[in-house]
Formats: sequence, C-alpha cells, structure tokens
Amino acid sequence: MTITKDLFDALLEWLDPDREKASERYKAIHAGLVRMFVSKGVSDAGHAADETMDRVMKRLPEIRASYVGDPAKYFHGVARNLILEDRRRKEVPTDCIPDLLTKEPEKSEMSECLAKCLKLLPTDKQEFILDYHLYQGRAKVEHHREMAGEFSISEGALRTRAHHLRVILEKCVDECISRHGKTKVAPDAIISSGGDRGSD
Amino acid sequence: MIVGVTNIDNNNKTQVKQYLLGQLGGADEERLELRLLTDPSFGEEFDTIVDEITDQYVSGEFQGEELKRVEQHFLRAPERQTKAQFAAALIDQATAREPEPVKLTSDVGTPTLRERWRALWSPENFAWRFAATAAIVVIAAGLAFMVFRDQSTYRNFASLELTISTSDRAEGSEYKPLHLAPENDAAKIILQLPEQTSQYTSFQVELVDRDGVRRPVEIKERNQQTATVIIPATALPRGSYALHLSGIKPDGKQERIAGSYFFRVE
Repeated sequence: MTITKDLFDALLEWLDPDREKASERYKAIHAGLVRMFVSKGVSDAGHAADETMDRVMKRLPEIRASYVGDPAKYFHGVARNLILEDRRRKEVPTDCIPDLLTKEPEKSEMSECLAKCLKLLPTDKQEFILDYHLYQGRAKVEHHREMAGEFSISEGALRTRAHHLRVILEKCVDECISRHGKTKVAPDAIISSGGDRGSD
Repeated sequence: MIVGVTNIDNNNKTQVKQYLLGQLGGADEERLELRLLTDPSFGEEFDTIVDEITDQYVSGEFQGEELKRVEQHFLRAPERQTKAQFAAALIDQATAREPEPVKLTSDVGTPTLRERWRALWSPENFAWRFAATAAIVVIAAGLAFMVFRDQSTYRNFASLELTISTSDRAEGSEYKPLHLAPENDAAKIILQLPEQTSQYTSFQVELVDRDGVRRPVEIKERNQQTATVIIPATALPRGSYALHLSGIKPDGKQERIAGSYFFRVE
C-alpha cells in the first residue's frame, strides 16, 4: 500500500483534531523515534523513523476504530518491532568496537569544517561554545558553574544553550563535509537554523 | 535572577544515562521511550545528556566497565560515532586556540567571561594581581602543609601495593582499587620499584589526578625493592590517580622513570 494524502491526513486527525497540534505531535513523535533508534544502534535512524510512521499510517484504517489509548504507544510498539527486525538483520557481535572510532577517517576535514563553521557564528557565540568546551573533568564542572553564574542562568540552561549551538555547528559541519570542505552555507541561514529536533 | 528552562531532575538524568548505556530495561525503559515520543522538552534534555556523555568519552573520562558500555552501546550508531568525532574536534579547537587581545568593551558590548578573566590580569590591574598572587602563595603553602605535614600523625591507613605499568595512560583495568573507609586518615601505598634502578641514589614521587594536577608526595620508607608513600585521605577524593616515579642520579640530576602506578579511590 502506498502512502496517500488521505492516509497522511487520517494520521494527523488521529493524533489531534486540531491540525496544528497534530502537526506538532507528529514532529515530536518523529524526533523521539530518531532519538530512540539512534540509542538502540539502528543504522539509519531517520529512515527507521519514517518507516515507523509509514507502517502506522498503513495500519491505521484497521485499528483506528478499536484502538484505545495514546497513539504514541502504538508508534512505540511499531518502533520496538523495527528495532528487533534491525537486530535480526545485523546480528553484529556486541563486543566489536565501532569502526569509525578506530580509523578516524576525516579528522582533519572535520576540524577544517568546524573552524569554518565557527567563524560563521557571531563572536559572542563562538566565545561561548569554545569557553564551554575548554576544560575536562572536575575543572569542567566548576567552569560551567562559573559560566552559568556569569550569564545569570541555571547550569541546565547553560547546557541547553551549548547544545543549541552544537546542533547548529554539527549541521553546518555535516553540510561542509558533504561539500568536500567547501561550506557555502550563508551565515544567516546557519544562525537562524536549529529548533527542536532529534539532534542525534 | 536565575533564568532557565525546565530541567529534568537527577533521578531522571540517571535513568537517561542508564538508558544510553543500555542499562535500563522493562517498564522504566518503556516509560522513558514514551516520554521521548511525547515530550519535546524532555527530548532536548536527553540530547544535552548525549552531549555530556560524548564529551566525557572523547576526554577520556570513562574507564573500565563504563568505557566498555559507552563503546559497545552508546557509540553503536554511526550518528553517535560522528558526534564523537565532532566533539573531539570541538574540544581540540577550544583547547588549542590562541589567546586573543582583550577587546575594548565599547567595541563589542558586554565582555565575555574570557575577556573579563584576561582583563583582571592586565598590567593596569596591579591590585588584583598582587592580591591574587598573595592568595596563590597562601593556598600553595596550605597544600604543601597538607601533603608534607608529619605523616606520623596518621593512625588508620588504607593500604595498597602497586607495580609500575609501562604506559602513561591506563586502560580501565590497570587502575587498582583503593577502598578508603571513613575511618582511614591516609592511604599507605607501597610501590614496587622497577628493575634496574640501582643507578639512582634516591627517588621522588608525584601524585597526578585526572585533571593532570601534580603534587609531590614524600617517600616514608624505602628499600631496594619498594618505596612507601603515605597520602592523606583528604588529598584523595574519589577518582583515578597515577603516581609518577623519578630517580635522582649521583650527580643530582632527576630522571623520570617510564611508566606510572595507577590506582582508583573508591
């Protein structure tokens, strides 16, 4: 069965009669699925999240009348099945060390791209993100406490602020690497991007 | 005023960490996953914990079983491996950058933390430099007193015997556990001296913590096979440590002996 506009509309209607709220719920579920699939080591988490959405859409005509409870639980059940299918397909021995960690393929490219992307940030944001990552271990904890005090925000808010900048930088670096180190992302586009998504 | 977003409590944070390291199961895991699908702000908090674990991993802060879990579970997905590479590059950039000249505040608005810190040490700020230098001297004297004070006052020791490891960076399993009970005043650590150290007339030992902070430790007893050091319990909060051994040659020259003695205070 192919996914049609009617199926998609029915799914949104099932999530919430208010189209805008339904759309928000759809995005939240999708982002949550990506986080869940990445955490479970599923190879292409984005694709797996799309597949989950598609499967639910296809089943919806059969289950909608009889299903009781939060639709998110149904998505969760379908996602768990996908994880099991993925494991059966791969059957990777659990004690193997991920390849990328041992061969470090694009370290210099990553660094070059990161340097370019950092320059696209406003100076205060550059300073912030580099300061945030200046120390390790106990010194880091103390430094973050001081930074939070300086900015008059909680340590949690400081972490969130750093995370948002990381999401922006990761996206920029990703695009830069895919363009062979030639980033063409306009600064404005980078600074205004971000928002809530599964950043994994 | 403290302004902040809603943050998950410590219990939830622990559960997220357990989930990310593959240690959460059953109903707790299901509850957490359902929250991921329904609560975007929780998802964001979840991401900050992913960042934290990633940074800790690339900074070498995990050891032993925990390190194994991070590598086998947390880093299983290619997305996380890329994230770890990104974090390593970011930490490299942060630690390697050149100091920049202090900008005038009229040019840039509010000075950043780093700029304010540098400004404190500028030549114009003589009073601050004097006070800070005096404070450092007092603190250093206090620390030296803590380390060097008469260790015969210690009565209750936690003992440990260590052999030298040839590497300078330990695998998790190389850290020998030291169980410091509340009643222990100090740790008595017997270091097995490596072979071929007869050319040295004496030895020196340095305690190095995980942040790389080095402190001299006095050798209390020594024979041909061992050197014994006593370290106050107050100088040993929980964590991993290395002891570095140096030999003093007859001409007075000091020579670092390759390898380290690793232990972990529990």
